[in-house]
Amino acid sequence: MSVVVFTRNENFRQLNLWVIPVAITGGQRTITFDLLLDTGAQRTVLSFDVKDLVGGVEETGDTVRGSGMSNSSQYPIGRVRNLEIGLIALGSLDILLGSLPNPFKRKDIDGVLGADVLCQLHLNMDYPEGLLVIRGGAC
Amino acid sequence: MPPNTLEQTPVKISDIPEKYPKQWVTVKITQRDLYGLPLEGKVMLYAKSKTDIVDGTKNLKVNDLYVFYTGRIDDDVDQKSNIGQ
Repeated sequence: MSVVVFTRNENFRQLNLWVIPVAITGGQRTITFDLLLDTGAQRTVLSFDVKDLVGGVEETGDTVRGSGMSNSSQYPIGRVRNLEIGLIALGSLDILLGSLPNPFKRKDIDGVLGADVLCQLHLNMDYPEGLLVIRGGAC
Repeated sequence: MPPNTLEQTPVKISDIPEKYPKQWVTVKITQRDLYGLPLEGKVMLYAKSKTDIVDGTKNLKVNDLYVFYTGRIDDDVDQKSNIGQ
């Protein structure tokens, strides 16, 4: 079972948010982006910048209406070839594409990791110690 | 503006925010830690504007990049175009 350990970084110190590097593979290349780990989000959302940069993220033609804290939007569904958190590879995944809802869209992150990804992982969040341990193999 | 290769030698990812504060950067990952997370890389591009970084990165024929913002994620980002300056 693969394990990834994050220790507190600047975003965690100042905002109490887990923002972690996630490698996204489209059709052409793999690029790592900082994503917000969001246990309150049902689905993973990636920005259109991510789609443009990794290339080959095909839209399925389906859309989903998503509601955030203060707005609601229609999100197209795209398929990435692989999503990796460190050594944990999650394989092909359907994700939502779009701008992040408030209050996240004013923050400089490229997406949120939602429950569709997090349900495949064992998470241990130690806020006082600023320690996040992620283990793969939950599915 | 065309992308510039700024670092000929890899630098630690953790040192990049101090060298390029409040910038978007595109880094070619050269080393990962024991958990597979980016540890070192070469800074290929930097800019205050994310649009410039996205456009510049599209033109890089390089795989295994890391695109991130070096400031706090809720900084008010200056959108002026100044890639590589």
